[in-house]
Order: sequence, then C-alpha cells, then structure tokens
Amino acid sequence: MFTSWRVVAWNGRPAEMSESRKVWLWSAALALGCSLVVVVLFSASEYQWHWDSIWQRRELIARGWVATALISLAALVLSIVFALLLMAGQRSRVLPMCLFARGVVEIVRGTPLLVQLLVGYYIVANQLHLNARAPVGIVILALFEGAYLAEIFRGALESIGASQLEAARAVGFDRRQTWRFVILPQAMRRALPGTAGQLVSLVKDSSLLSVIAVDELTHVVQAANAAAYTGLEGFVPLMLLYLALTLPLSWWARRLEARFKYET
Amino acid sequence: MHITVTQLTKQYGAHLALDGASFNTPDDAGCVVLLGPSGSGKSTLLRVLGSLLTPDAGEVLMGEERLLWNEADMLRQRRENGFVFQGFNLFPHLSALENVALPLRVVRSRSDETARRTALDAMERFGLGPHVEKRPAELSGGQQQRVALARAIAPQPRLLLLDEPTSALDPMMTQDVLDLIRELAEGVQRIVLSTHEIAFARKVADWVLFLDRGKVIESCGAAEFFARPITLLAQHFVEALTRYR
Repeated sequence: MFTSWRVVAWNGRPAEMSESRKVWLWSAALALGCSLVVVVLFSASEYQWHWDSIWQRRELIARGWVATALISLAALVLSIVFALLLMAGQRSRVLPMCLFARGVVEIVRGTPLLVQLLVGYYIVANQLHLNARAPVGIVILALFEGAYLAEIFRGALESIGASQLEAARAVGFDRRQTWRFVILPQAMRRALPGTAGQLVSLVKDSSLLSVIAVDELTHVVQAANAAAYTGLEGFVPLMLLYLALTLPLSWWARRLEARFKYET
Repeated sequence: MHITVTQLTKQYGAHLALDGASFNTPDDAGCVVLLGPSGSGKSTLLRVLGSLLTPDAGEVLMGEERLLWNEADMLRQRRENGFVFQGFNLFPHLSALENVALPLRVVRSRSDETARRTALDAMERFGLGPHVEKRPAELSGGQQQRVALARAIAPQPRLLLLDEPTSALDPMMTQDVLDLIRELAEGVQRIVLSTHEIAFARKVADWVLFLDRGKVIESCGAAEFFARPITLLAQHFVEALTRYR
C-alpha cells in the first residue's frame, strides 16, 4: 500500500483502480440498487410477507433441490448418449437411419419441451403403462437436450477440416489413430463450451418436469406455497436455488470458451 | 531410385486434374521439381506419388516397386514418405514437439524416450530449439513450416514430398525454409517438390517436370530445362517468373 502510494505521488497521477476491483465494486453497487428497487416495489404493493411459513418447509425444498440436481445429472448422462446416437445416425450412410435421426432432431427441436412432456407422459407413457413420473420425465428431458447436443457434436466433428485429415494420413496414421489422436481431441475441445452451455439449459428446463408432477425443485416450491397459503414467498428462494446450480456451470462454460479461443 | 509414371489420370467431378500424365526420372535424380501454372496438376501428381490419393487410372513405379491402390497398401506406402504441405497442416492441439514425436511413437513404434530424442534432434537442426513446447498458433508461419519439415523428415522417409512449401510465407521466412530444403536436397534425402520459386528450383533441381492441364509436357534434366525450355508455355513460364528477380 505504502509503495503504491509513493509511486502515485511520484508520477503525480491518481491511483488507477485495478480492473477486477472495479468489476467487484460495480457489481456490488448494481446488486444493491436493484435490491432497493425490488424492496420499494413490494413495500408499495402492501403484500404481507410470511417468510417463516416457507422457512418451516425448508427440508422439503432442500429435497426438491437435490432432486433437481440428480434429475439434471441423470438427464445429462442420458442426453449425451442420445446425442451420440442421433449424431451417428445423421452421419450414417444408411439412408433410412440418416432420415430417421434427422427427423427426430427436427421434431424435437421444433416443438416446445412443455408439449413434449405432456404428450410424452400423458399419451405415450400412459399407453405403455409407464407411470413412474421421474424416469419418464428424465428420458423426455434427455431426448430434448440430446437433440441440441447432437447438433453441437456434429458441428464440432465437421469443423475438423480436410487438411487435418490429410495431415493425419500424411504422417501415417491409420483410421483408428486418426480418430484417436486428431479428430476426437480437437472435436471434444470444440464441443465443450457449447456442451457446458447446454448443461445450464438442461438444469433450467428440468423445472418443466413440474407439469407432470415430478417432485423437483419447482414442483415442491409450488406445493410449499400452496400448503402454507403463501402466494409468492417460495419463488425468491426458488430463483436463488436455481442460480446456485447454474452460475457455477456458466462460469465453467465461459472459462472453457476462453481457453478454446486461445488454442486456435 | 527412378520413378516411372504411365498414363496417370485423376478426375474431380468434371475437372480433369491429371490427364494421362507420363514421365521417367533417372536413378540419380535426387531432387525432382514439378513446375507449371496453378491448376496444372502438380499437387494432384504429388499426392498420387505419395499414395495420399488414388488415381483413376495409370501406373506408378517407385524404383522396382509398383504402387498399389487398396487402402492397406496405400497406408504402408504412405508410411515410407514424408509430406510437407503449403498450409503447414500441423495439429493445432499438440505442442510443436508432440507434432513431431507423436507419429514416431504411434506409427513407428519408437519408445517415448527415443521418439522425444529424435524429434528434438530434428527440431534443433531446424533452429526450433526455443519453440519446442509452443503450440502451432504461437509460432510464425516460417517456424510452423520448419516444424512441418521436422515432422516429415524425423522418421527418415524414403521420399520427401513438398507441395509448394513456401507459397504461404513472406520472403524472409521463405528464405529460411528454402535454405533448409536445399540442405536436405544436397544431402542424401530424395525429394519431389512443387514450387513457384523458379530461382530456387534452378539451384536444387536435378530433374524438372513441367506440367500443363494435367499432362507432363516436359521431363528433362534441370540444366537442360533452364537453358532451353522446349515448349512455348515453359519458355513463357520461366521468363515470367524470372522477370523481377
């Protein structure tokens, strides 16, 4: 501190605040300002807040949060499997296979997840006498995210140019070695940022499983609100609890993106 | 090792890249240079000679060995060669050292230590000592092409094939790379090279093939070619390329 003050005094300019400190200070100021606006808005609406009735149900809500995390994890693993199958299908030389995979991707990406959940659970799963809500929900969610992931994977794979493949052949790699040492490491790096971003979407989209009454975070908060005869109190922690899952993921996604930029 | 090529044909869609190219090079032609206008088929011929491309028709003899065009034989033939391309084509996710050492390990089954040693030797020789741990994106074009050259010669290939190795480089870098190629050509390395650097070709070539529209229209000793190109096109070409040098 003392040394920097001396330097400032010597060259006669005010101390430059470091970039990261500026970011922190501004973030804190903005958060405080926004909080103030919210408080003023709500105090004007004369709504009676009953935080204790939600606090009493904290265990239920915590279980819902864990359920959301687990559902997301299961759907993530399954969505990667679906994505690989759909991508392989689209790249297949067998025409019906290629058309089928492309059709699935287009239909899944062209309809809302909400509709897919309603149709998938109340029509398809019911017809098949599958009544386990969570597993059915996970499969539908995984298929939805998998269709997007398939496109991310396909894009990453197709971004490996012909010159890289020629270089691989030129150094004498056979087909397996080309995949292992040239195509996959580069494609995976390119797919990682998009995949991490898709994972954030997956966590958020899992809230829609509440429409088929899966006991995940959104559903338990709705239930808690109803049971406590409170209208709004549950939604604030609901938002914060989702952010607790997604913010670390998007931070990680951004880091991956930055690293990828440096490498090409 | 002489190269004998008969009636080589290669078509891309409607474009005839090689249209019945035929030629012979003598045993003592250590450095064969391909000249000709852009699109005359130099790159395609180079790739067929190196077993990177399958011709539609025709025959290639490398010494006494007739090249075969099924996948397994092409892989085996390819592994005897070293390639350097116009666009460097290094693997961007690997360090410069790994670019050279990885093929030694997985294609030539060298031990980790031997591969590393061999790669470092080749890179030192090309003045890349301080750059071995860098990624290709951190290197200049000239440095990248020297890494590519190290990668190509480290396994001691029977034939080194270079496809316009300096056409993506500025004049300073071009000089560096050409010096190295010249050093290789003056050693024992057998080279087939396509280039527009006519002054350089004149220095290193033992034998010249002049191509036009997929055919080899001149095939002769370098001294003879540069003294008296036979065809009008070759005369114009040599003159045009030397006008500002």
